[in-house]
Amino acid sequence: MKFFTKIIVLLFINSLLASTALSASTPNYWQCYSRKGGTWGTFGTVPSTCLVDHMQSQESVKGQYSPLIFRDSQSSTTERRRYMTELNAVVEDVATYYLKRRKPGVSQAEIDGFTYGMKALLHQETGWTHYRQATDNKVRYMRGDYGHGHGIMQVDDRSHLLALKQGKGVDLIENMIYGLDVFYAAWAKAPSSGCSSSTNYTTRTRSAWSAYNGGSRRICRWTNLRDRYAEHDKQFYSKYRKASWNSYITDSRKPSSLDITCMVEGTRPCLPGSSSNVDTAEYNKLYQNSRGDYCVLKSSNRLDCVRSLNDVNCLQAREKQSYSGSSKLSKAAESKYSFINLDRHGLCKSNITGLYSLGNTIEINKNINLRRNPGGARLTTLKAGNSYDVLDFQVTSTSDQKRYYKVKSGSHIGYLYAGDANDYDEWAELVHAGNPNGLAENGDHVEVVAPYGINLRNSPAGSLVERIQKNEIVKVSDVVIQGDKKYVYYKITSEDGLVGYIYTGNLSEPSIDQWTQLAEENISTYAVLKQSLWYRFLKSCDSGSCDYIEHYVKGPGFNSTCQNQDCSLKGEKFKIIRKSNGFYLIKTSMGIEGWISREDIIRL
Amino acid sequence: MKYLKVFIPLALVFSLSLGLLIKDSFKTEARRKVAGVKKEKNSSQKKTLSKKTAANSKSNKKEESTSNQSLARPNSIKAIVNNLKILRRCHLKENCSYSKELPESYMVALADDTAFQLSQLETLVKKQNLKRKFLENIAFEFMKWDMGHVKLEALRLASTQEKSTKMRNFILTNIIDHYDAEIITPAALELGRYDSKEDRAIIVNHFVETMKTGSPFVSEELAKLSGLFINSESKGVFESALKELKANTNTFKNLESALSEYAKRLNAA
Repeated sequence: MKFFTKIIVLLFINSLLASTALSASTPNYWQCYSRKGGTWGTFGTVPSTCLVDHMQSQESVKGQYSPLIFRDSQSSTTERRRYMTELNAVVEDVATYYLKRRKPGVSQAEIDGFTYGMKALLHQETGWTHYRQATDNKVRYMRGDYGHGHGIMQVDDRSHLLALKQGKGVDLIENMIYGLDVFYAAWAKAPSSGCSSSTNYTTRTRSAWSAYNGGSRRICRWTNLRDRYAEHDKQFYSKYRKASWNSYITDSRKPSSLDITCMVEGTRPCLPGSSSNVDTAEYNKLYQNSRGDYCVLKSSNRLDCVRSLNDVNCLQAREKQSYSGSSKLSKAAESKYSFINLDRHGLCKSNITGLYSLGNTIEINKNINLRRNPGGARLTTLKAGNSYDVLDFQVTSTSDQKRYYKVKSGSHIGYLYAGDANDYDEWAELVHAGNPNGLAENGDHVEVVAPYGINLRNSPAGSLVERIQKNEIVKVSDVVIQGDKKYVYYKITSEDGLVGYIYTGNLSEPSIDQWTQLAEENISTYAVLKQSLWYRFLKSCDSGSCDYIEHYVKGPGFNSTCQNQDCSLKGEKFKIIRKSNGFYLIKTSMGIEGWISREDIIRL
Repeated sequence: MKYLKVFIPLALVFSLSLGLLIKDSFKTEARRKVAGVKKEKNSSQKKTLSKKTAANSKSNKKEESTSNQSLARPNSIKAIVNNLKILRRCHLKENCSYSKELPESYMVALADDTAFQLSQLETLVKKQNLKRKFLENIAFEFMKWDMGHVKLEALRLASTQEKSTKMRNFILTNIIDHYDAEIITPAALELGRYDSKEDRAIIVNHFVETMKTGSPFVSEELAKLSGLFINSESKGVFESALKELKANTNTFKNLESALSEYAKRLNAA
């Protein structure tokens, strides 16, 4: 008996061990927390839903999408009508925006056909279900197909995992646009597939949906009544013909509550969608110009502007008032005023209590989630006691001055919440007031590497003093960062003893090393890629089988393309940190760390 | 003795399933090394999945006409190339024993296996510094597939080979024109190798068209990378494109910033 028991136990344990190794894809209901059910066959409440929190904060969803959340606490009949009417307005705007962008000059008939097709798709996939607020007051989002389908467009985590990790499952507009990217690829291909013409929008929609559901090779699946999935196509067509969503839409002309272009292509947060155009600006009101800047009237013919709606919080803190309304300036209005773009770094630093600056090193006092953007997808949790360099900041409210800092942790770059005006020091405290990673510290020497030298000016972007030539070494005495692209200026003393400011790239794109580089004495710790190499992506660890990370270094191979010295596709120098297992851990001029094979580099 | 009647068949069943699982475990262990998409799973997730996968494959073996051979251990270029031929046939004929429980299940599993084989091939080819026509053809073939992670592995294989006009065009039409923003940076860097005037003109024109009418997520990514391609010859094309973009978009702002950085460099800031 004992012998057999042992065999069984051993075999059982072995089979379990082997089975844990079998992983080809995400499991059912991957990252689904606090799942709730729903009702089949109803609009807005199809099962299941999972908390949004791993990708978007509750506050962020409620702030951006309030009219588009189905609330279980309300009477379902009234709430369904309200929800469907709001969502219909957004769907029409999204479909129109999308098709006009992808196909400039598209006919109104095609826009109508595409929009109708999208509505049928939403019915088939999710019954127009996306955000739902249950009676526990928490917002959840739709997960179908055993949890593999994410959001109203049912983006599948087994084939679109990278996109979903960036929040394209939870965020309603990103989910719609990503889904439309897939749908449109089939829509564009349908007329040449042999089962649809370009102007028959019914057959074109049926083809596009077959491909959306079964892959691009199945674009004509709907024509084969004996196909394994013919029933799916039949169900879709039935919904397409009946258009039963219309029964719940009480006002088909209601304007969208969202500014779709801003939500898709702009910098969030965005103003509501139905802002009116005005010809004259008034005091104490907020306006948006055609560049998307947010402006307030400062004097009779001058508006002060910032580039993002979050920076308006710093502007409001400066003026100690809130700006009401949210109109757009007409072209006539724009010609009447001068627009002054304020530097956000100086503006926010001076007016937000306890805000840390770029380059400061902070130590966090609590475990804090690192998110892709303020209130966005969670990347990891940072541990209390760890220190991080501040790469950027966002102030998300005026009255309590809530703030987020952009930091780097391992291969993650994202935002951590760091309290408000009253409790910011409970969240994070300053440990070092240095300059951003990759920049010179005060007292460092840097070498000018820009091909034509760099002009020395009396202030950042001010009047010309003289030109500092290529290869000249200068001493840095201060670092100034300005503008939304984080333009960097060094205050320097030249070899001739002249003092002034030189531009040295920006922190938004990796361009610092194209202007100046640290003049290191211990040059043997530096390396470049081998002559024949064009670029190498860095790896996450010291083995050929490790993942590539999203950062790379450019090699001398690119130098041939820059013979006239005016492009930035040039090889770069990087620092070696340590060696292991035939690989080097290196640090790029932008402070990014990663592993690279010993065979790919030459030490300087 | 009475226990033997029960335990011996049970032990046989367990042994059989153990054997099948061991056979698969090599493939799975290797799969876990595939970059990007399939990382970050925890063990509990793996357990859940494996039960489902095992159940699916069991039912499918009954339902499907299985024509695929099992894949060989991918430890040589020859073996991998052969595996890729099998996978390509599976893609064309859709008659291999991957799950068809849901409409997308088959292609999802097939794409996972294919991406893994391509990544193994790239590692071996890079190690041996091998440049061969058949390797280019493999890159062409798999760059055409829909799934982003297959395209990415095909692109990585392409980067080990000599550049060619055909490859340039394949990258432009199968990756830059695709909607997967995650693979735009490696594709743009690969296109950076194409440095003749003619290549550059074609690439830059394609980039600006995509910025104007491509997937919004891809456009924004391309605008971020445009600085790599701006020089005295392409500057005018990018400037014209800027005029056609909406000023309140990140694509506009990224391109404007790249052009401003270029102007600063020319004028010593």
